[in-house]
Amino acid sequence: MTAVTREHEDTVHFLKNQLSIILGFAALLAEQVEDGSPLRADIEEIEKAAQAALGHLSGLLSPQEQPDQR
Amino acid sequence: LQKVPKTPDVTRRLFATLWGNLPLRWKGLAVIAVPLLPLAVVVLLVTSAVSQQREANASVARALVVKAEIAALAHLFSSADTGIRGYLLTRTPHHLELVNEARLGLAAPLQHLTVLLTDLEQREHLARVLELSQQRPITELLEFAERNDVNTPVPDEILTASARVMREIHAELAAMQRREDVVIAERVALAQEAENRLVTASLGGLAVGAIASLALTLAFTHGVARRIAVVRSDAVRLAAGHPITTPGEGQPQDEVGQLAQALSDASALLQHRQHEVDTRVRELEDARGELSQFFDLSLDLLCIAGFDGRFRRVNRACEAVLGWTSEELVGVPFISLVHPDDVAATNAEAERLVAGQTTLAFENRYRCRGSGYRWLSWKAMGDPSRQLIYAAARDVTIEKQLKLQQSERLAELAALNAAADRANRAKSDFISRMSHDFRTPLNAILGFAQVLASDPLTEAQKESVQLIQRGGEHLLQLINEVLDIARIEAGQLSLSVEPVDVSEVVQHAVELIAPLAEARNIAVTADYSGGTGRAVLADRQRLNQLLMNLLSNAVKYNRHGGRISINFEEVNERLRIHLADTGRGIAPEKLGLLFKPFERLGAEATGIEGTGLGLTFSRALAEAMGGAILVTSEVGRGSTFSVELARTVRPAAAGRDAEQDVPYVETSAAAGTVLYIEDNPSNVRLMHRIVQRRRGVILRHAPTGMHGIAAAAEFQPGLILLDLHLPDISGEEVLRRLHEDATLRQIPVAVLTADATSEQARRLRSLGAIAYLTKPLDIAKVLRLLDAALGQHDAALLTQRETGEPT
Repeated sequence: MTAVTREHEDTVHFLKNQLSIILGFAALLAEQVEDGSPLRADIEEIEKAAQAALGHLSGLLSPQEQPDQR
Repeated sequence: LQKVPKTPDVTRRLFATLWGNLPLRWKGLAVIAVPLLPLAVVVLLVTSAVSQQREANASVARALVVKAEIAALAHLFSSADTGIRGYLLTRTPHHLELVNEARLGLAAPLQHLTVLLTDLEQREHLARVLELSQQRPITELLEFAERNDVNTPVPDEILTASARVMREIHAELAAMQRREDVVIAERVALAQEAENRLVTASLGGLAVGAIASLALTLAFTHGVARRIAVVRSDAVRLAAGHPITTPGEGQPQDEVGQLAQALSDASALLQHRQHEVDTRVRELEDARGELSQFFDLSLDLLCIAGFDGRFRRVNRACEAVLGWTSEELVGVPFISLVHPDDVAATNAEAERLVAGQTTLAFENRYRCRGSGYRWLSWKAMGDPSRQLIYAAARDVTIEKQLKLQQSERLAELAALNAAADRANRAKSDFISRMSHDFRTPLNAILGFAQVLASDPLTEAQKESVQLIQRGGEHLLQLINEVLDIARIEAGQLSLSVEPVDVSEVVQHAVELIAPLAEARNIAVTADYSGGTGRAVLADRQRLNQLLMNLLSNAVKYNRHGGRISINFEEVNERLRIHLADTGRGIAPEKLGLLFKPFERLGAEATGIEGTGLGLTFSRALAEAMGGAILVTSEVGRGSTFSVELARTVRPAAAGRDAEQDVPYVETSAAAGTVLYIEDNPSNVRLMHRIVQRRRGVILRHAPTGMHGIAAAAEFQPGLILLDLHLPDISGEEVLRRLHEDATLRQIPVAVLTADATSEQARRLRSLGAIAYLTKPLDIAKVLRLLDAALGQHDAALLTQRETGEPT
């Protein structure tokens, strides 16, 4: 599958930027909360979800190689 | 002087008419019969004369017999007288014998005469004779003789008396003789007269008959011959094809007349036929002339060939296409011009034509003058009765070349289509993956960000959470726009195009943008006069979305304290909505990049938020609704974006949803068990965090569909939250099974999904889903759902609001 268009690449690039921003602020927020804070688990969920989204973005550029992410 | 017309002889005319109308056989009979009439008269006369003559002759003959008998009587009387007197003188017996013989002999003549005599006078004479013969002198004399007394002389007085009586007898007989002589003389004269009349009648009759016969014959033959000559002349003229005269009124109606009339009729018929023939000949000549002209004018090749395979006639198109002249082609075997590769097929086709069959579409190549071949497509017909082949052909060389090129193009197109298909599949895959996979983590990001935002945070933490939330929302907007653009390009975007009241939709969009514009001190003015009462063909919701995009841009890229002006313009059958701002404007050289995805024309450096997909999506949306977006701009003065849509005359009823915000309230009003059927742990954890906002609510979790159904039966929850994508069976199947189970059917089910179509939403509703929430989840909506399902609120309102078109 090589028919991924330039638009897709632009989209993925843009999404990655946004996810990077989210990950950046999530990391900053993690530094702002104390260890053992109940907020940390929520922040980790955000980071985990953003990382998963980044993984999906990579898969969008080579869709056949990606496993089912459900 | 004026001539006085002669009075027609009516009798003569009548006779002429009768005679003229008499059939020839009767006329011939008349010619024969008329001379016979005098002959018949002659015959009658002759017969009469002969009869008279015969009668006269018979009378003469009878008179002669009578005379002979009278003479015999006279002789017998004389013999008797002589015998008696001799005896008396001589007394010789033989004299007595004479007397006896005479007396015996008298009986016969007397009897004879009695029969023969018819004349009264003669009969009286005969009676006198008989009477005299019986008188006394005679009887006394006879008595003397009989007594034979020779001694006694006979007295003289007896002798004298007897002599006197005898004289009287002879006198009577003489008178009778004379009378007969007279009769004979009369009869002879009569016979002579009859003979004379016979001769005269015979000669006269013959003469009259002969003359009449001759005259009639001459008259008959002359008239008939003259008329036959006329008829013959007419026949000759007719045979020569000349018209003949029509017999006038009163012409004889015999066979000749009928023949003349028949000839006249035949002539008239022939003239009529000749006229028809002449007309048909002229028509045929005209038709032939026309056909000949068409033959030569035809753009197609037309030719006639014999069964010997040689051209008989070709038209000018043959000359024009093949380059050969007609003289060069006629007589040439057509097979000699056929391309060698087509000869076998052409011969086979020619055999079919010779058999009387028809060729509807046969193609072969013909050699042209000089070099090269032309492709000809033939339609031909064989005519065995004339031994000819009629053929029409069309030069299809260009079509053949085009077909060849077309097949090459088709191959190229097929390759392009294959590439396009691959691209479409890639796009579909892209849409699918974006929709399925990317919303799930985004759900967690936005969900936990909302949870964090509701927690007590420091200002720094709050700012970070807000930035994460804004990034997530930005990401969500981007994904939605990308998916919409991709759906439009793939033709998968569901649009409900209908007549829409344009001023109403614009007014609604203006109302929605007003808070944002007000926040930036931007005045929004709209002149609805051009749009009032006018309708366009559009999807109401999508048109609102499109206008919101443009108005949002008009606000974001406007100067502080700027202005947005809205008005309408009719252009032919279309309506334009002009949205003019007072922003910085766009340089002409950058206008071409305006609708390019992710192209923000440097705005990304200004801090103005945006994905770079808004205009791309808006234009795609406008085009999907049959419209367009036009833009004019002037640097330093602002830009005008115009939405152009097709006008229509029947605006649909306003379908504007009544937005009713349900306040986000942290409360314990809702209580009960909620079963969440979801396989993704992050989503489950997020739901736990949300449900923690309702202390009376217990969240049960099932990681698969089958576990979910079992848990529903076990816990009998007040609400089931159902994810559609489950590892074992689909959420739709779970919903169906719950609906089929009478003990579970009453449990309200809300569907949560990262992707869905409006069709799927309708189907789920039909299976009993009361709500339809899309991921990323809006926590407020989830809480309202919990409150509605487990608390005092009416779930129906929530259901109505949450089951709209998924975005």
